[in-house]
Amino acid sequence: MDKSIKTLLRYEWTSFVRNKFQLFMLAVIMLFGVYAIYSGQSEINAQRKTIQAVTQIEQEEFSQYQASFDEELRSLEEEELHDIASRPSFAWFRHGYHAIIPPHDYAALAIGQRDLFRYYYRLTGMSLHYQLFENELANPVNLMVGNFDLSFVLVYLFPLLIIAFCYGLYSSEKENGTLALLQIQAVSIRRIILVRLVFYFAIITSLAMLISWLGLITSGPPFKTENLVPAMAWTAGVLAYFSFWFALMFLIASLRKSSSFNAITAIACWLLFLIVIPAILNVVVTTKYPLSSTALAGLTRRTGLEDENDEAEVREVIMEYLAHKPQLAGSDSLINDNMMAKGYAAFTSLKDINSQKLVDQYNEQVANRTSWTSRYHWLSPAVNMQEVLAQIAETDLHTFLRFQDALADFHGDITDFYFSRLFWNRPILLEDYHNRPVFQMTETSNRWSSVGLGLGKILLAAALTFFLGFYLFMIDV
Amino acid sequence: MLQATNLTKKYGNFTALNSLNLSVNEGEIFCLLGANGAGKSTTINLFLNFIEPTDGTASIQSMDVTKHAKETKQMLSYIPENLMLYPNLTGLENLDFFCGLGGKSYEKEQLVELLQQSGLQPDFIHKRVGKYSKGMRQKVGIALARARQASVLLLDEPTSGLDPKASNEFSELLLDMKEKGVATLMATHDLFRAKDTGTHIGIMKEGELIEQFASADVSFQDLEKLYLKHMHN
Amino acid sequence: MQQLLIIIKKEIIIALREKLVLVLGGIMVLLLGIALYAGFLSYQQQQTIITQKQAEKREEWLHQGDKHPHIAAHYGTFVFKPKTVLSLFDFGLDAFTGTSIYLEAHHQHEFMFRPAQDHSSMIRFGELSATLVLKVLIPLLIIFLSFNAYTRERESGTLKLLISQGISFGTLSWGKILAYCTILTIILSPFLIGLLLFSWVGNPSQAMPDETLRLVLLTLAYGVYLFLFISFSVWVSLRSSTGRNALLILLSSWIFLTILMPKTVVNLSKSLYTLPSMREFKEAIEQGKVYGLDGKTPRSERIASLEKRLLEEYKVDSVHQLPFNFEGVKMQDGEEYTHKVYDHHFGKIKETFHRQNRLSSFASLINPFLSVQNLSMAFSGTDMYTFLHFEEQVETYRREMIRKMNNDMAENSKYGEFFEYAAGRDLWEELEDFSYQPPTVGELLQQYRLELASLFIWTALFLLLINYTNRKMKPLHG
Repeated sequence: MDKSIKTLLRYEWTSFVRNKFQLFMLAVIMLFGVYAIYSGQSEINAQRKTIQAVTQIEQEEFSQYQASFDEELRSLEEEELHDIASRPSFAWFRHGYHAIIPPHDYAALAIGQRDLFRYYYRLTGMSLHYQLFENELANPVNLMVGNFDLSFVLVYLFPLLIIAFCYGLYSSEKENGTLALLQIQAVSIRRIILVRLVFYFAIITSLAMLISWLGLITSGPPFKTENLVPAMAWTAGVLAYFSFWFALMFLIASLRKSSSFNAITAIACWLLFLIVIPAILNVVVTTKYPLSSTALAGLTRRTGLEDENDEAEVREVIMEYLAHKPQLAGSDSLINDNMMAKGYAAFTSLKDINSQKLVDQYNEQVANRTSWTSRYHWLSPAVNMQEVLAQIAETDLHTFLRFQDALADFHGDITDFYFSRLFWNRPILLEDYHNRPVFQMTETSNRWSSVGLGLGKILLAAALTFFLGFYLFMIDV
Repeated sequence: MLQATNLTKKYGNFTALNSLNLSVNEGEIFCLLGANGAGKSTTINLFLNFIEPTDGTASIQSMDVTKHAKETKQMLSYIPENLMLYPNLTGLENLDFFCGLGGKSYEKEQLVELLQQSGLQPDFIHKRVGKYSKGMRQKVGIALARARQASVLLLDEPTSGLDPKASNEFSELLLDMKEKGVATLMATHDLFRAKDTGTHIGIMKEGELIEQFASADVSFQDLEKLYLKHMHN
Repeated sequence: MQQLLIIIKKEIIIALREKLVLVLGGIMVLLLGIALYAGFLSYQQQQTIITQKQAEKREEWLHQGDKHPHIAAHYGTFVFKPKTVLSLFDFGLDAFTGTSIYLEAHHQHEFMFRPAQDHSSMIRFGELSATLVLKVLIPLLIIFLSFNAYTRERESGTLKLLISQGISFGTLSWGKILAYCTILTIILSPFLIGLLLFSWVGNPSQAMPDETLRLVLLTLAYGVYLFLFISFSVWVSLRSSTGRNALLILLSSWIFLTILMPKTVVNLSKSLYTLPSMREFKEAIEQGKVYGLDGKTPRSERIASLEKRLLEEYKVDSVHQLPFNFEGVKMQDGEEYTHKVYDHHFGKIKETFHRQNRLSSFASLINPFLSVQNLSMAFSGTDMYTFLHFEEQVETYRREMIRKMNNDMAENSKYGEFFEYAAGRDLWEELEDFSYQPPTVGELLQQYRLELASLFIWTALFLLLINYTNRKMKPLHG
């Protein structure tokens, strides 16, 4: 290393250590980071506990059913239970299956949409749409304010720290009157500023890495295969995002204005990227794609057959449904058995079929909104970064939309399982319990490519900003 | 007019000004000479009531400046070493603003005339002060003193950093004010200016006034010798 | 007085010649304009959908045909949370509370359809609303405008000149504060006029009765808040030796007050007072219904005791001999028990909400940002209190609906019959359409006493502080 650079670094370190306020700020952000990790983990742990309880309920329910097969039936209650376990006309709307989207180990670090959307559903063979729209209990104030997780500390707070450390990169020399002394040295001013920039980059990024890895290690072993790539991506994300902010500070310094001007401009940029741009995009998308879930309200209505005793009406409903599902149709005599149950099953399924268009329209509009806004993510590296972190932790909106799709498939499996037995008048046997429907969500292939793309955009923004600053420093010093 | 009695200012153990006695009458220009830190500016700041004396009094027309802050300020005008005005306002606007604060209101033409009388080039009157040289700003200061019809003028090294011509013009203006009966107290490093413009001269050292005489009583050479003698001890 | 005016005039002229201030001010005006217009558009959109849907659902209810009242009670109807016209100013919790509630027998449906779920994930960064600009961005403008109020005068030496003119620090400070107030008023006046116009144009028949009062209170609350920020900035500038220091202190305070603290307080409240999950909540209600609130009086026992009581009261030996349909009375009795269970459990949830939000009320004593945030939502009718108030009215309405259906069944049908009896439109019409009466301003003020106190205390404190510092101040230190 150049001797002059060594000297520079040594004195930068001395003045850094002597500046009590800066050290204090680092300590404060460290504290916030630790708190954010704790708070995120407690949120996700609560969700894990709920998931555990829910899974246990399901297991108990089904083991009861299974147990009812091999026992000598004594009491009336036991007999009732066995009916529910074995007769599809009882079972189809009573057997509850849980579709769960378990949190990724790192969801605690970027809670994303996990607090707003449901992460578990109990589904029966009844109308899917009726079961889909219940929400989790939450204080709306909490939802509005959002989560205090590590991603918040990294995306919102660290840039402020970077601004506080770097707004006087050049201007403080000018204001202290030391600039003239520096200018007559052999090293160029641009070089001096760059060395300083790298110095603070090293300090602040190491702190962020320290906090991040603290979070990663305490949330889940980072060297487990499914965690390794996310942990690496997280690290890369932090590096890319911080590079952008340091590049921006370099650009601002290259304008060679006063410290106050720099601080104001930097804060204005922060405001622009973190508040103004997202807020404006939200407003634009809301007016561009008007959408209201109130339109779906009607789907949640629990309706029944007009008159359950009217056999003709029930038969008509069943026939209508069978027209949609010819594979379930059998002989006429099949219908007569348990007609009421079949009628009800057909009725709720028809309701789903008929409202599918409305739901599709709604989902399409949500997808429109999402894809429109994601087209403008590049406008704000902060939004980009938040999205990347949520994607890494599988708490992004896309994951939840996929969950909705998987739910619909799962519900299809459930109805197939029960309806094939109901409409063919076959009982549910003990061995059927081994191949009852299981919820699964397929891993998408493009998750890492979109993480990569997001990171790429941030890096590109960082590079462009940096070279602009470099260029501005080059012309007349 | 200006009267200091046993005026003392201490900062902890350090004595910035020790028991100063001094008076300046109407039509007099009293020049304080001395090295940096001799107590010249402290004296001026005490008269301005910018700082509180540790002991003794500074009074203007027999009024203690700490007790009659408002009245005494009405009578004085002040020009610091580097008179800074609002860079975003024009010279005229600055003058109008400060006059207004002192409760004097003038027509615009009168202010323009005052500025011209104080030697400001006419084409600069309507330009923003950010573009002025130091000498021009001092001229606005003089115009302000005139406009305020101050009977006391406090000057803290007003000519330092001015070129000889501007410095000379400034002296002319002071003499003009002297004719009108203004009492002036001026801290300066400029021996020549002190001898030339001042009616009285005092030499300060380490917070004390060690010599005091009428400028007519000494030649310039004697003054310089005297001054250097004190500085070398 | 005259000096004060002169200082105000000078400060305004200097501020107007500052390019940065002009640009930032212009941006603020623009943002406010966009926010207002977009707020109005989305208000209109939502309002149209809601009125339309509400009317539609009402028609569906009336034209549901002849059927058994209990089936009708299951068929139910829907209630939509009306948008208040002031929500175009402050969206508040609207995106995160449910918008519609399905009313049916036996079940309460709450929190369905949070509008935030219709959005992309960017919604979590916040929507552009007028209140965002006023609460968060304008204070920043104030900081940029006034961090240099004293430090520039001090650094350039004009302060000495000013004081030598016989100006007191009091006059100077107030001159500056009033000048900045004037500048802000000018920047905000087009917005105020726009807000008035929009709320006047968009005012539908069922709007809040005391809307004008709410507008006045909103203006007052924000006025006080911004005044606090101005005097704080000027005070910091007065106490600071350089502009750089003043700016650093002010920006740190701004971040702490408007970004960090609100988030931390809410997050803390969430971990201090935890909510049960929806599953636990529903499970508890189900258990309560089946086994009784005390866990010892199962449904069969409750029905048996009701039967016994009625038989004794009417001195008959079987439910067939009762002068009304026992099924209907039984159902209503079961319904009322369900209400008791629900009230018990939902009461606990509400209590938790209340405690969580209470923390932010207390924190507002330290941070005026929180007071103005809570008050603004309250006056705009988008706060938690109004939301729960709405839910309560809806629940009362739902109970009324079920009671009417069950009573009709008890009076007009026979025991043991079900599909044989059908009620018609006359009965459906007996249930009046739902119309929401928002809480009065008086009620709201009661709820938000702490926030109001905070604004008063801070104003008083700042007036005292500024006057105290002004008297103590000297242009030179020492």
